[in-house]
Amino acid sequence: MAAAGAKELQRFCVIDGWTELRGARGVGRDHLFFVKELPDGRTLRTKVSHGTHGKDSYSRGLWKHIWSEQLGLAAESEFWAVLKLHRPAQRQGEAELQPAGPAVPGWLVQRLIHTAGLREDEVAKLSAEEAEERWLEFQTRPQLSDLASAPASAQALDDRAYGLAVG
Amino acid sequence: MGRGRRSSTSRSGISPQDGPSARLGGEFSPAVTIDPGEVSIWLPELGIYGRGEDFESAKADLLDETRTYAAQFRASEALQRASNRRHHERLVGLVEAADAEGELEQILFAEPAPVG
Repeated sequence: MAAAGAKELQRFCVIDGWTELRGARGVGRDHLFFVKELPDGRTLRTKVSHGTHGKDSYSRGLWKHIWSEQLGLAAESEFWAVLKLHRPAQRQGEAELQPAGPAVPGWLVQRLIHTAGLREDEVAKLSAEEAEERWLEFQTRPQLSDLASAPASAQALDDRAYGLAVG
Repeated sequence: MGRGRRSSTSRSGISPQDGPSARLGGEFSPAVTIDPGEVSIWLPELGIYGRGEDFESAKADLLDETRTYAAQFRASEALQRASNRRHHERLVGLVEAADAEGELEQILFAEPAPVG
């Protein structure tokens, strides 16, 4: 099943009886905001975010957060059923909602890109666990300044950087 | 090339010289998903997200969204009295205080405080 885009999400909000927060467009961006009060006391809120550079559909991971946590649906199929049948969603209790899968913590991505010097495509391939390992590895790796005290060949510097014995 | 390694012995790399924002690590835990051509960051504590074509633009979008949510929360009785948002009162206060100090990004992306 394909992830929805901004058009589908906005259409869902209209059919499902959400209220647009007027005068609340995102700063410098083409965002719309909607809220919906539920009979059980919860108030849902979502942002309809139009993508950049023509990419409208949400990524799979983000899309799961949107339909499950922002729209309060128990299954993605309920979203598409609203659009297809043109009638409001039949929501279940909060307890049935499942969290989306794991992603890499923001602070860790920040450190890996800005401090350790990894590229985004390298970070993209890491699981949360692997990302943490890379960060710990970076922190414990000797710095070039640590190695500069003794004159050595490039090979010896390499060996020391990777924790190998130097004669 | 500076590596930025710190002399602190903490696992997270936070030293006593770091500002209050770093020591508040753990209040927010943004989760990043990187896909080809799009980066998204989900902030579970407030149920909001930012997205962009790269990490920096997604982060900027999340900062905008966090400020927008804080303003909407203050202006909306429906959000304040909602059973699933009452605990946001404290977090929104934290966001407002951090933003006033120019430390919103540091608060959102602070490393978790060391355990123990």
